[in-house]
Amino acid sequence: MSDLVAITGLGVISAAGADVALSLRTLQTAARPALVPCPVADLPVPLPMFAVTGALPSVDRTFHLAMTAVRQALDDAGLNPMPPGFRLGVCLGTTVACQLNDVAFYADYRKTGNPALGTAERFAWGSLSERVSRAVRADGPVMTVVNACSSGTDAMGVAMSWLRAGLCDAVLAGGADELSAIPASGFFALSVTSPEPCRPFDRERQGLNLGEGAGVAVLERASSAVGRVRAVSLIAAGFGAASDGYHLTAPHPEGFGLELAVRAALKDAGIEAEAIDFVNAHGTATKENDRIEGSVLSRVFGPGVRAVSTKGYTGHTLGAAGGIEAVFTALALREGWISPSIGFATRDEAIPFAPLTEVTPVVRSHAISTSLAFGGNNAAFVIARPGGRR
Amino acid sequence: MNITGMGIVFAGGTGVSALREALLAGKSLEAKTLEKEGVPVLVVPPAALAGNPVLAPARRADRFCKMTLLAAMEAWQGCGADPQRAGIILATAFGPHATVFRFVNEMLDFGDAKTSPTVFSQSVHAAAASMIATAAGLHGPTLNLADLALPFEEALTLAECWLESGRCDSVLLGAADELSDVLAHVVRRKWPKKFVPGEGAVFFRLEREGGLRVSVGTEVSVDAACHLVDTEALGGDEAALRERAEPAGAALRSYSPFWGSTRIGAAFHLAAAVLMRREGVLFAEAAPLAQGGIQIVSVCGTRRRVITVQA
Repeated sequence: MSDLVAITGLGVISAAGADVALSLRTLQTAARPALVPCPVADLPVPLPMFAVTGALPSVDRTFHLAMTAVRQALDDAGLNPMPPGFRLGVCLGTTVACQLNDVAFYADYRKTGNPALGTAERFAWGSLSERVSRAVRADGPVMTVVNACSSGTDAMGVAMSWLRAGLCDAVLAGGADELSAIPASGFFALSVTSPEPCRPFDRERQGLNLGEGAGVAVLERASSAVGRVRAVSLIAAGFGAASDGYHLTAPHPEGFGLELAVRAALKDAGIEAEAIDFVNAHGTATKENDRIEGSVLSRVFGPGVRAVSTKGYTGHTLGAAGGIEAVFTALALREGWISPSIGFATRDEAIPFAPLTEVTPVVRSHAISTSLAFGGNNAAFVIARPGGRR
Repeated sequence: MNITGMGIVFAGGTGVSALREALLAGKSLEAKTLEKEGVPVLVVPPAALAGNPVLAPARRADRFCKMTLLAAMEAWQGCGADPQRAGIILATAFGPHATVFRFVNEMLDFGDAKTSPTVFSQSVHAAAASMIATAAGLHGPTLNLADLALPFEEALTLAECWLESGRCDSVLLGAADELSDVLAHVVRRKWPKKFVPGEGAVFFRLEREGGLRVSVGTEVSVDAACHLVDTEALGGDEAALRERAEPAGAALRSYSPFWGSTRIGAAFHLAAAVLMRREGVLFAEAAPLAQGGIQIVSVCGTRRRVITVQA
């Protein structure tokens, strides 16, 4: 067991629920969370978005979203408090919380030339992972991944690299992002947002809905968990990433990089495609993403591939998406059922399969979560339950 | 892991030869004053980013992308690695923030619904590495990271993981940051007269064999030939380092005045260390370099990283 990377803790917050239990209830009942008209940008159409409700502050919101998931994950792993001498790394992905991009701060700078430095002061405290690392008094490596929409999945890959190299005992890995005016305006400019609730893989899909949240897992060397965790029930089995090397915003038309990433993740996990029970797809509900991803998944896993997109519950949470979807994938394996893909009604002939639309039992040992991103980044993360049928 | 290629863009120009000449001459660069903020800064001259054929596919790109692409392609030239086993890691503190503010300008001037998709695309942190992957035809893993503390040092550690685990046969590892009016303003307000901010990009081609051996750890060796630190980077620890290292004969140097204060200073210093080891001299006095490794020491709070270029 000493070489395995175990998943010993999970934490999540999104429009689907403020913790694991609430998220599971939403996923099992296929309940579409209430969407809100875009609360962060002034757009001519009331673009629906998935917002986290509750008493989270609007200032430093991404950090607070991350900390909500981090606390849950540490509690779940039995790492609150941490044992003396425990080396904890932090690797989180984000898109919003990585630069001085506060619109009000910049507007004040333009207008007065002498803005209140609150935003800059907060930014000088560090990027997302640095701040989380300080907040939990972590003593291991720290990295904030900014790979756009695949950031959360890539963070899982970095965590696995650190653990396999023996750089630390465990890693808080995942992603967090808040709803922000800049991506809201930018995605609207790119004409990829939907005026209605998103419909991943559906023929009539019109685009994505933005969302916010955080998903964090404790990845840990199995040897480190011995004595603290009763039995390792989930394994971070494999990771793969590849670049399209094609275009800044458009995915490769044949999904070249995504296929490389998925095959690399399977190889890293030491399994064949047949061992995969289901795919938690990126499934943003944009025309291009779903067509290309559908084509690749069908090529690798066959036209009978069992796939879902959980973005119908959360929206596209950008840097958080890979973290949230890894947590949802792990929960499906742990609970033994796959959540339905909501928003899907009509088969698209350009996509060789239809996503699962009912609660479906898990029968095999492994599942894979995929992410595609701006810049042609592609990442895939394989999770397994020990002893399951391959 | 070994350094088998290198590329650089800094205030002194473009190319490793420009850095070598500057370090050998021993003349730090004259800071330019940023017009809007009245802050002395070391900026990459516009001419350095104009007319270079390497930048043809990036003619519409922003300065951050251009600096990064130039340095990366210099480091990558002549490499025959399998493109599917060649990774890219780009470390930054602030990323393409000037383009983010350009995008925010559009939001403020024209409204949230009338912004440019092109500017938005370039404002994403992943844009520069994407351009490198496309220009060099690379299909391995690409990772962008943004941290204020030790971004290059953590990136180097990850590159070592990728190479040692066999995930990649070569890694194009870089660090880049740019200056803007906003950043100069923040520096002026927060640290008046303390720093001369700089900008630029440095890239290294890393492979398992050939070139110069480099490693990253946490231990400072008093047997090193030389220690390199960023100006003001170590605070109280600098005195302790002097106390330990200088009696043992190790030189202590900072070359920050050649490129300015940045959060990626360790990457620039690693480039200087590689040149010193290749030349066998200590910059700028050209004295023979003693035996032993060259160590770049970085400290941030309780975190310390020591990069060693082996003898």
